Amino acid sequence: MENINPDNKGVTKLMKGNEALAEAAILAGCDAYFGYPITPQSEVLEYLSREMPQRGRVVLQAESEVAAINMIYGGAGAGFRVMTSSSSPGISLMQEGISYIASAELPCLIVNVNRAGPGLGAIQPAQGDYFQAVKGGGHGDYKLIVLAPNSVQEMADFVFLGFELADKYRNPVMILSDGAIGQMMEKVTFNYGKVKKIEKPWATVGKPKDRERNIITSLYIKPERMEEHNRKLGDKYKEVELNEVRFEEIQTEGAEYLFVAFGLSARICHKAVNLAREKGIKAGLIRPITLFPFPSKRIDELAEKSKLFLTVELNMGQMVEDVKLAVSGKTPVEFYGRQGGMVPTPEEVFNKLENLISISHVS
Amino acid sequence: MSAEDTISEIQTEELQTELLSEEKPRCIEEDYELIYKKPHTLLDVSMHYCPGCAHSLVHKLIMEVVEEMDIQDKTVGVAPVGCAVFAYDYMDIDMQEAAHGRATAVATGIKRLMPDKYVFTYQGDGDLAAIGIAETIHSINRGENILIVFINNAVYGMTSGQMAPTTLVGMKTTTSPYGRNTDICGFPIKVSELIASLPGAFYVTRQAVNNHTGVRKTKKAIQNAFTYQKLKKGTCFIEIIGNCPSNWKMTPIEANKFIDDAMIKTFPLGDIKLPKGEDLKLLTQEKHKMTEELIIAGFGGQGVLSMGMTLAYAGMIENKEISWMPSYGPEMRGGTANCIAIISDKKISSPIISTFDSAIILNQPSMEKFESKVKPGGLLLYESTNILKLSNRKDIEIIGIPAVEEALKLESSKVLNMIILGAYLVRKPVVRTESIMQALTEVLPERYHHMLDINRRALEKGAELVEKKMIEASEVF
Repeated sequence: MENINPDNKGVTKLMKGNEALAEAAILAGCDAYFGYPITPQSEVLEYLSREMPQRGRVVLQAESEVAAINMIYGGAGAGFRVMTSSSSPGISLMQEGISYIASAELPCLIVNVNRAGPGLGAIQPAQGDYFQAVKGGGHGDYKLIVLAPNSVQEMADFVFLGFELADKYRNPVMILSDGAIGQMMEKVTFNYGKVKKIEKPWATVGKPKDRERNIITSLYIKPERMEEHNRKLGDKYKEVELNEVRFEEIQTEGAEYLFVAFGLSARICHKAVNLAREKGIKAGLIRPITLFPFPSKRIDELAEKSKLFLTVELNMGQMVEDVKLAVSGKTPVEFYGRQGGMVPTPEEVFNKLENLISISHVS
Repeated sequence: MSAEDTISEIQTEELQTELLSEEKPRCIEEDYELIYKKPHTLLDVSMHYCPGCAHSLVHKLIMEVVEEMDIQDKTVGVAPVGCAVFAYDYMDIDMQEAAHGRATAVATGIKRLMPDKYVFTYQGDGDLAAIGIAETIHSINRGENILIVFINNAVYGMTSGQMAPTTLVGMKTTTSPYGRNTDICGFPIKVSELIASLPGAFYVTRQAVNNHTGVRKTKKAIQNAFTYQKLKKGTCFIEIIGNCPSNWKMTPIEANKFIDDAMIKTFPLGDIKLPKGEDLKLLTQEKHKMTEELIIAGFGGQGVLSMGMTLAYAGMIENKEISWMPSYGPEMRGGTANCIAIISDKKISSPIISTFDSAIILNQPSMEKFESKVKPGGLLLYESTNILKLSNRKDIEIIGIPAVEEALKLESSKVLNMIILGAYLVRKPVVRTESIMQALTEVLPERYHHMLDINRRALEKGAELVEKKMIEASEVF
């Protein structure tokens, strides 16, 4: 389990995003997967139900997302590398458990293949769960480390990264993907080094005589202790913000107009940047890869030199608030979004930018 | 979602601090004989439970079993939300605190990843039977190899006395101030009966801890359940009728009486589902040593010699070393018969021996002759309709089976010996039942082959009787 399956070393495959994620979980030494079927991510459960047992790993279809996330709690608390995945309504059901996991500081990987909401919504891609993923989601004061892949390759890569960050910070990590990235096929290369697993002396594996008992809990009945715990968590999140910000920049050098987008939207904006450049418009793109920690500092730097930010999301405007906070009024921040599972074309996004530029010139 | 009552909790904490600060009375050890002490697995701290509450007692019972089985380093507990939310402050084992109702899902995660560890959940009626009923049913349906300890005291204790799914009909609580009205709130859920129907449930029992017999039976059930966990055959579920003097607005004595007068009318005590004999055999097999030296003794005509011979044949079928030695000597004239059967994985030395691992005794004279010949720790299995004067020995296991009576029920006095043999094989699984059947096919002449079926039923009956005895063993205490 410590070594990567040599057959897959450096192998390139054509796969769906969800399958690449599942395969990466196996390669990353995921000990157990607990999940519940929901479109558009059922492939993960199906793939792992097929592949995990023959490798002696644990895979279990839970009776609900509520149960699945609590199985994750148990398995992570016992010190194992565990993962679950779902889509928006299922992730809502998991929020209670995620809050407990965050407070009990259990490392694990939670994947949300975002579909349209609210409510039962639609099964097409959306990014309406940004707030839920980034701002908490469950009750209380906590943060997930949130990774936003924009390709099938990153669906796989971020499983490795996610597990490592989870272990490093004893914190749940969420991969916030969407129905398109999950369902589409691209080529993916599995070429990872040795799986890094760290000792977890805090895990509940049975108390030997020579150590104190290990307790996994999120209950601090005395307010003084609770506050102490809140501050400890807060310090950890600050450390994460200091060390783990990840983003990608496309043609930001000398750009006057900047798209800000993550996941699928960033792929669309990338094309829109190309369209703009063809027309001589100095457009660029900054793509947050970690949604928490958010690349606020870099956006702030870019704001010094640019004329306009256009945030593009598959929702009614969520990340745009974080962009505005980062820019803090230095530059106008505009928003363009589609909802309900509708996805804009690159031309549509480019037209929006062109439109905004002309308005700003008129005024 | 039941919230913790913070204010009363703080008060409890203060009270605890006060209690702890008082100097503890000292006792001079030489002056007293130590006859009881708490298990080392139970931490030496004040508990937050109300006076007379059953929780602390059940905590102690579980920790006693963990100590006695020496499995502290292999045990992981899951605490609930409810009064027992602080269970991990009292038990000196690794524990996880689960969200309300989710304990069995958490335990599933733990046990699936560590199948050789002993995992148990400790849950109240609100946690297990209301908010967590889905997790409860599905975990048991999957046959998760965990122990679920279910404390049923018919109210939400921690949030101070609201109606629970198990609240009795007509019972007053803070949210059923006029008494539980079944038109509005439905009937109390009998969780044990409900889940016993699931194939994944291996052992389901309901006990109470309101008197010393109940406490002993509860402990026995906990012992059974932890032992069964090794078998990986499914979920063990122990419902314990607890009390809640504070929320029932009773003194502890009144509360314990209320259990007898009211609670057990709705929730009758006893075993609801017992493990199958075949499964328990695996357990005894584990303990079983390589050589079994057995004497079978009774009157001529009881099938003493053929029982031994069948056993020997079965041993041969299984490629074991065997010897069968019928008695010959003066005792033959007294109308009694006996034989020695030895079954071993090694080459057998002397076929004639004077002490035995097991004795199967079918009449009174044989009882008197052989009861002292059973080795300490051995087994004495006797026919209980024939034998009235028993052995007083405490160092051996003594089990009586009314085989004569049961043989009559099967309408063949001839199968008496097979009933006894079936019972014996549960405790000493030296050969498989299938091998016995094969042996019978070979030993019995063709013209008796129509008797094969009744012989099989007799073997099964014997097994069933002894299993029942094993479970009830605590009552003999």
